Parts: sequence; C-alpha cells; structure tokens
Amino acid sequence: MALRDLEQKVKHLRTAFQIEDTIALKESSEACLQRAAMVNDRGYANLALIGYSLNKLVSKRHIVIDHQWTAIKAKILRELDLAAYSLARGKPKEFGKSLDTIIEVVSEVDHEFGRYAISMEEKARLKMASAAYGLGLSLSQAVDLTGAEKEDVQNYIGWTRMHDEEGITFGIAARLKPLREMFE
Amino acid sequence: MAQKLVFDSSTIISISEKCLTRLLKGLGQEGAVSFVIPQSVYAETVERPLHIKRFELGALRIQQAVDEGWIEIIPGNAAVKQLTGKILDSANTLFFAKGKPLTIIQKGEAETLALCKNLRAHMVAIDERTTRMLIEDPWRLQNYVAYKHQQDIKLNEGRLKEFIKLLSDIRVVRSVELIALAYERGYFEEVLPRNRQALEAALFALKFGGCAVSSQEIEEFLRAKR
Repeated sequence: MALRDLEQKVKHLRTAFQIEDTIALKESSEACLQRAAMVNDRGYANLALIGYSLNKLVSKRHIVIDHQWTAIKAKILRELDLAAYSLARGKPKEFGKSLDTIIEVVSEVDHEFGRYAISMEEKARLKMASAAYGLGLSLSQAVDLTGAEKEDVQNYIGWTRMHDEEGITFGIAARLKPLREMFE
Repeated sequence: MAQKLVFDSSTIISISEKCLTRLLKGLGQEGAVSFVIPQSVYAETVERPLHIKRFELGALRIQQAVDEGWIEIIPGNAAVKQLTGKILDSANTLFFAKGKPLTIIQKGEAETLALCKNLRAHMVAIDERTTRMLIEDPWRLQNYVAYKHQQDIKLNEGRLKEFIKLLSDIRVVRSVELIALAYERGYFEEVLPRNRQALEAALFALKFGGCAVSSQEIEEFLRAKR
C-alpha cells in the first residue's frame, strides 16, 4: 500500500515536472511532506525535497533557457521513471538510489547556475524541515526526517509566524517565577 | 548541593546564535543552579557544527562555556538510556492517525528529558514547541496536529497516563525566561545597556532566532515590567 501510494506520488511529480507546472510541483511537494511527517518516512521526505527543488529549477529563467536544460530535464525525467518502476517492482532501495541521483543532478545544476552561498539542496531541506515542524513534529524529528541543519531551521522558523499562531500555555512571567525561586 | 537545570539543544543554540552566552554565564556562575547537558546535546551543538563554517562560531561559544565549567556535560548511563527509550516509546505512540502512531519527537529530546528525570532536576530548558507542548498540554498538541493535517488524531489514553506519570513534575523554561532573569539579576550591564529597550531587543532576538514564544507574550511581559 505504501509503495503504491509513493509510486503514485512519483508519477504525479513527474507529470508536473514534464509540463513545468510550478503550482503542481509545489502541491506535490507539500503532499509528500505531509505524508512523510505522518508516517515518518524519508522516501516521502526526499520526494518532497525533489518536488521543491524542481519547482525552483523550472521557475528560474536563466536555467530553463540554457542550452543544457533539455538534457538535464531528460535525465531527471528518466530517473523519475526509474524511481516509479522500482516501486512498482517492490524495490524501495532502487527507488532511493534514483532519488539520490536526482538530488545529485539538482546539486550539479545549482553549483553551475546558482547565485547563493547556501545550496539549493540545503535550502530545500531547510524549507521541508520548517514545514515538518509546522505540521507538529519536534525540531529534532523534523531535522532528522529531512536532513536539514538544526541551526538553519531554528533560525528560519523564527522568521515565520508559526510561534505567534499557537496560543499561550504559560507566559514568560509564569515561567519566570519558578526559575527565580530556583536561583534564590 | 546546587539544583540542576538541563538544557535541550534548541535553547543552547538560540542563546549562542544571538551572542547572549555571556548573560547565561552570569547565571551559571552564581552557583545556585548547575547548567547541564547530555552528551548528545554537546555532540549536536559543538562537535558537529564545529566542522560547518556557518555554525562554527556558535559552536565555539558553547565549547568555551563547557571549557570554563559553567555548562557541564553529563555522560549517559544505563538508567538514562533505559528512560530515554521509555519516553521515546511513550511519546511516539501517544497520537494516532488512521490507526498508525505518529513519530513526534526524536532521541535527542527524549534523552534530555530522561537526564532531567535521572538527575531529579525538575526543570528543563527547551526552546522548540513540540516537546514543550507534549509535556505541558498534550491535548493542545493533539488539536494542533489534527488541524495542521486536517485529519482526526486519536489520543492513546493509556499511553498518556504513562507519559504524564513520567514527566508531569518537569517544568519548562525557554531562553527568553533565562535572559529575562539575567536582566533582573544585573548581568546585562556587562554586555548591553541595562534598560528596557535592551531587554526587549534581546527577547525579540531570541524569538526571531527560533525560540517558541509569541510577540504577544513578550509584549505582555514587558508591559507588566513598566
């Protein structure tokens, strides 16, 4: 059941990438991440990461107009096909290898065309971890699932409104009281 | 004998990344309370980031605190290991979605709580939201997860009783409370102006550094301090 669902998600992502539909790629990534958080599965988490990265690639004009793009895209599509095929044959390890290959391809593209000190892969992991934390996982669990760096995630979460939207269990004054007593 | 305050990596990271370790040092050197971390938190906040340029400076600040002796590393033992497993198992079988358990927390967080219990410490410093909510209000966390996933989340009552029994005597503080206490006890003078603006700036810096505190909480606290 899980492999079948994963296979469907790979196929959905492949279609979205083939037609360079950024909204569908984003939705696909979000659905995979939600599933990853729910079942604690790195396969889904890596697929979410790939969906996010492919969305970023196809939305960058300087990448998609480059003469190398057709070959890069073909390579990624081929690996997505292989990933789906591996799942259909009940071979999750092969599926994992295909995802690793796609992540490598994305990293190479980013290395050649990227303009930031933080790589696209790192940024994708960071965004996925932050979203996983937003879904209710602990910080360490979100980091563990996505392979992000905790310091980055913590910092990024601080820029969001996540902690403003959760309501208050005990405020600062209430927590400070026993702490003060401890020091007296 | 000094009471112990156990730190999770999230609080250590918040304080170090915002260059506020000297404020914490003041509290740590008073002697009334010992600041302790499990070995895994040291590995996570010092050993690993020391090899990543982006985080090396923060790691060095924490390493210095350990070298100076005001943060103590407590090596793991069999009792902590056993308790870690128990907490992890309990926390990660509390919530169920479509009949399957949700893995909510990870070993590092469980180990911090286990060490807290093992040392009879009663207080833990955690900046991240989920572990804190799990200890203080698991029902709220259940509702939060259900809302975020748009799915019915079931709570295993038996596990909840077990979890509450294990951890109900532990109180949680965050980096904002520690820095607010440092302000009250006069440690700001060493690094920052000792005025309301500096306190506000420090508390918001921690919030923007990822401490799970709302702007409303900080503003309410500052209003009451006038």
